[in-house]
Amino acid sequence: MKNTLFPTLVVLFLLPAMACAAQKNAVKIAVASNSKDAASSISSKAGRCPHYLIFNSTGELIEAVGNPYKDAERRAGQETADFLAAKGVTIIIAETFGDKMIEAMRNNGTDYFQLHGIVRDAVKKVLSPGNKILMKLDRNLSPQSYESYRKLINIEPNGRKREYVLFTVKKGKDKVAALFLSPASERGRSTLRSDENMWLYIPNVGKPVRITSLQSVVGGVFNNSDILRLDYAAEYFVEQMEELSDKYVLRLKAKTKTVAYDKLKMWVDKDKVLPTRIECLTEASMLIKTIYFKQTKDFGGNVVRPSVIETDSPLHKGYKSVMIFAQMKKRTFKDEVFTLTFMRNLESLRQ
Amino acid sequence: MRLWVAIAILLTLTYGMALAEEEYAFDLSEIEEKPFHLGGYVEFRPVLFGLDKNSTLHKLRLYDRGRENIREEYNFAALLDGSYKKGTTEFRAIVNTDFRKSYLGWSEETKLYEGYMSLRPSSTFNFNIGKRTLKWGTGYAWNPVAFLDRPKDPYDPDLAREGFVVASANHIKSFDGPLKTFSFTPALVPVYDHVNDDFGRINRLNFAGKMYFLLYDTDIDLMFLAGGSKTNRYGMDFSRNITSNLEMHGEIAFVNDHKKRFVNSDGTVFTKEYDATSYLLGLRYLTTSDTTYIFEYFHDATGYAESELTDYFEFIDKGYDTYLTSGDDSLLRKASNVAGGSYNKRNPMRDYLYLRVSQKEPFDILYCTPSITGIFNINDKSFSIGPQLLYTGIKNLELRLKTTFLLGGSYTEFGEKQSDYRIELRLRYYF
Repeated sequence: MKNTLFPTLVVLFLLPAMACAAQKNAVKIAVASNSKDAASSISSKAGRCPHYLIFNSTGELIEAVGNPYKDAERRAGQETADFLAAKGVTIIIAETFGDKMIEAMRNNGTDYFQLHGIVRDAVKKVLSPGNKILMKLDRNLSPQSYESYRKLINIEPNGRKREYVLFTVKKGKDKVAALFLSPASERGRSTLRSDENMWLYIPNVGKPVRITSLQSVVGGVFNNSDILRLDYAAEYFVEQMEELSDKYVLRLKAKTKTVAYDKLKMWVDKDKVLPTRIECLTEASMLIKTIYFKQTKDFGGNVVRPSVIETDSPLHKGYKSVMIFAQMKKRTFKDEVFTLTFMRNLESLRQ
Repeated sequence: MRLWVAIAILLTLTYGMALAEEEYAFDLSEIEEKPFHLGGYVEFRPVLFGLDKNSTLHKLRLYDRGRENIREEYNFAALLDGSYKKGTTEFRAIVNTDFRKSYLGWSEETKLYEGYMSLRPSSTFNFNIGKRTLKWGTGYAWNPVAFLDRPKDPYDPDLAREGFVVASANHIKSFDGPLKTFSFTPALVPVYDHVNDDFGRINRLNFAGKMYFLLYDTDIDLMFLAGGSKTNRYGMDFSRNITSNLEMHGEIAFVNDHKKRFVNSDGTVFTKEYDATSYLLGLRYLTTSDTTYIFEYFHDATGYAESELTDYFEFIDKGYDTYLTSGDDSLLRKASNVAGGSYNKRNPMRDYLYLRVSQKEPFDILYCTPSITGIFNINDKSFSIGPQLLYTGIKNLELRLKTTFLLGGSYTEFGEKQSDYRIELRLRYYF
């Protein structure tokens, strides 16, 4: 009796906790709607729409709520984002979002999609296998928070190379920082990304200066958003998915205009759920660059991912840039590490 | 024969495979963390001056130097940057040595630019003591709020500078919400004999501080300095990306009881005391073709009005005439002593515009960045313009060719500089 009592108690204790955790992690989608009907159109105003229709992870409509802040004089977007987060919503869909609502959603850890059309179709799109694959691919590429060492090599048409070694730290969806270890002329420089804000610290210049995603701190084909990359699912959603015998082909669309590339076409290895090739495109589908993922390697700690990333671009004919990962391991950091004030101290994180 | 062909193919393949493997080699020794680090650069910088013998500053500085070769100058420099890290403590020293061969002969100057100890018990708090540059402000060419730094050279804002002995701390806090980051940097600046004695009045312990906020995606700093070595001053700066390729920044500094020393055309020295409010507003814009524009407007309320600078130039001319007629240089020496103050500043007047345009790798010429920098004195309409070519194609070697033309009428700031132009080549090797 004693032998079975203890495991039974443990199971009884753990089951509600596991159920609760599952509930907490469950996908819950709120769509800004012009009526309470899932067949109605998506509202153009996320903060001031009349209704929100809430769906569960299987796409079933579970609740229709009036937006209590639709007539608010101020802060309608922020209050609406907080109201939905308190209801356990993990994804919000609307035609457009204000900057302050986007900021509030990011702070709440709520994902968002800018879509138009019918509410029910939008939910289907977000719950598509493509988006689930994209989220899995992100976690296969790197843990949520990690440190890594990378070498960037710019190769010129005549074969001449220029190399940079970087120590990189990342936390959550939107915080990345990188410190240059070599060459000597760049040593001590650091870059920081927090959401869409990017800064470059040059030891002699002093205060970090703001830089843009399309610039490149190292020259070559990789730009700043490639070097300080966030999760793909944080910046894109899957518009279309094609299934081949050994691959998925995902067509991704940027969630906002501030993302460096408007569209991505991504080839994904079916077994490993890792990218093999990505084409970065403009809104008019003009090819900006192609990124190739090679030499999958076990980095330890369940991180198995490509160790070499190559890129070329029709805009830089004959040039190639390569990123090689030597180490990647899970590590947690305080938020304060990803601040301007800490940029000159990044070296102190190396162990 | 076949055997030789087979061996040759095998060797070629083996070599090719070795090359292919080597192509992306990443040796772990490259990322090994070492407690000691020593780096820096050596530099050779010859300069050619196009002297303007009729300018007042040429008369003031070089009136008795007619025979020497003043047009050429050869500069050699070495900067050593060393650090030692143990646990959460780091010691760092940056030493700069300049050798100069000019019309005055050879000279050497070695300075400790920075030398401090940092304690970093956590990522939210650190404490630093020693000689250090704090580099406050968001301006590119000028920083009116940099209360604890030596002034930048607007013609070369990226140059390493000597710091002051400071005890400072940083406390950083991150938040969720519109205010993402807050940090507080208090600082103590002792000014005594042999310690920061060029900072201001001696025998004072000064207290300064800076608060930083990342609020609604805008960097905001509030800062102050009090304690008596300099008059009390406080300021604010900000920086924000308006769009993904356009950044805006600004600074405002309030200086209480600023004392300005100036001479009239007879050589009488006056002192005027007033509260000065200086400010700067700037933009940084990147085009799709990788052209960067940096534009700044700077109002320096501590600077001279046009009439005050004209008086000064007239006094120098009088002194020079006296020297030519009688050989008496006492007036010129007096003017030189007055120049030791604010007249000697890089930009001594009140209102300036700054524009820098740089183009990264034009016509696909890799690692080459041509740029042009202009500084326009709004008050007297004189200006300087400086084309520059920077090449970084050789690992750790930086080549820079820079020319500066100074243009302006009689008794204007740039018209009365001692040179009409200067050409400078800089070769810098980092190690």
